[in-house]
Amino acid sequence: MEAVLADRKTPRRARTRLTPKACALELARYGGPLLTLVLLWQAMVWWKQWPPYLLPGPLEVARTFSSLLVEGILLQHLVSSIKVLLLGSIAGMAVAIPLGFWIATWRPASIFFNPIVTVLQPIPGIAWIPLAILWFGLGRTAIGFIIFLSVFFPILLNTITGVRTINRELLRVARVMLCPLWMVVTDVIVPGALAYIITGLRIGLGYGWRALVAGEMIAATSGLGYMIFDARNYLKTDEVIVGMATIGLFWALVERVLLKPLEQRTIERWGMARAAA
Amino acid sequence: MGEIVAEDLQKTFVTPEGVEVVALDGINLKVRTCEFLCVLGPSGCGKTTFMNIVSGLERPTAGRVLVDGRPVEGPRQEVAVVFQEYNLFPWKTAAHNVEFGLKARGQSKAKRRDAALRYLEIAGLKGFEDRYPHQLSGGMKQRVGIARALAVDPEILLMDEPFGALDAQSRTFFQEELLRIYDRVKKTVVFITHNINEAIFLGDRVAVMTFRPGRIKEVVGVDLPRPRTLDVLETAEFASKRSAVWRLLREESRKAFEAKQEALVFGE
Repeated sequence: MEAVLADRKTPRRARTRLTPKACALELARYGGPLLTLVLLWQAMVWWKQWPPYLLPGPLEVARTFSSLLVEGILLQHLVSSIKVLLLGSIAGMAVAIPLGFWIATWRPASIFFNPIVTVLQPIPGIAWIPLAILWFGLGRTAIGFIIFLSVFFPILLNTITGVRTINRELLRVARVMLCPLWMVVTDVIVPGALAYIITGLRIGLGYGWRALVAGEMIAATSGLGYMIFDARNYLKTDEVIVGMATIGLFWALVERVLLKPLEQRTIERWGMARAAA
Repeated sequence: MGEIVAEDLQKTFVTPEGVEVVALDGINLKVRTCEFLCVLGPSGCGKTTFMNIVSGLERPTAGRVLVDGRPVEGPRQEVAVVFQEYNLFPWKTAAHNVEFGLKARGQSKAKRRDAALRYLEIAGLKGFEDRYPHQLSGGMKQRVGIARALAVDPEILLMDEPFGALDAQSRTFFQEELLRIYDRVKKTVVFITHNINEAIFLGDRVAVMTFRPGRIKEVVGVDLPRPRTLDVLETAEFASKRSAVWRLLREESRKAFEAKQEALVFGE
């Protein structure tokens, strides 16, 4: 009887939820391999006896990490970076997604934009830095512009592919049902293209995050990239590593807490993508 | 209500290679109100084209279709379609799929939900309302497709080989199910198939089509009493009907087969 009940409770494939237990498990799964990496690093330091400005040990870095955290400096730079990332990404999405719909559904738009996109897309965001500085000066606007460009193309291209690969038959269903245009967009095109749009978001935000750090090294007065570059000027290598670790850890967290649940709640639930192991 | 008249329907396609193909060549057919009419023909004879024209998804090259005396110029309220490949929205639950047509017609959420649950129950899917299509079997998906078409309360139900993707066993089971639903809702049904047994078992009449160009070769009345169950398949009347229809169809099937072989040999 119990077995029957338990069975009925889980008609769907169990999804990973962020319960305390699941969090602990996840932490262990991440923590083990990462800890190994840190131990290797420590072994390296003991073995080679490099001066701290070349390679500080993990303990030293951890101390710097906690002091920067306590002083609020780390958080201040992180928040500054996130703000710019959000601004640039939202602007990028706001333009790329509608433009993608338009290009995918209207042939003349596709014919016109295709060569432009093909030429502009391979130019990395950071190659725009000189122009961005000239146009917007040092600071957030210039970095936001770089992010915008980095996020823009992956999302645009994926949106186009997503809309183009929507099952035509579903559009016929909408037609025989006399579906109004707004509903074709909200109920057929957007969810139909969502798998690709999310992939675009994932790639785009990842690009944006990398471009952000690079941009901040050159064109900003705050943010993680600036922090790393500034620390290097004073040979504070421990701070450099703290900055690098923060970049990696923060993004792992975004993937886990934001992007993965977004996929689980949509395309995986609809059976449109195989659940990632 | 729900009468369909096709007058001299003609449809010509031009293939990408520039070859003209006459898909339909002068279809004249009358489907009576609440009649279950099966259109039977070999694959490639233009059955689906005919149905697309009746549903308003395609325009004929010449001729016209009248629904209740008014010419069809595009999709319309009174006509609903059940597709061969189910064509459910993967991002919608069974209930939301069924609600789709009602949402398009601007019905309120509560009303839509009520109707969806009612038609899912009629289709034998009580308890599966909140499943997504990928969590349903092929047969269940097609039941959702049928419920979706019925939910808009159409006068006419067009079904394009709805059981074509099912295995033989589930197919007969679903035919019986469909008749049960038909007896309950009484609509005009046009059912496309290439399966003789299916056509005779389901239909009040069977319209046999010729292979390319598609014409109506003959319309055969099936006067087996309703409600019908699978036992009908064993009766002498069924057997004689079957051989009569097979005589009509045999030649067309052969033509279809030869055309396919030719296409393979000459790479048409």
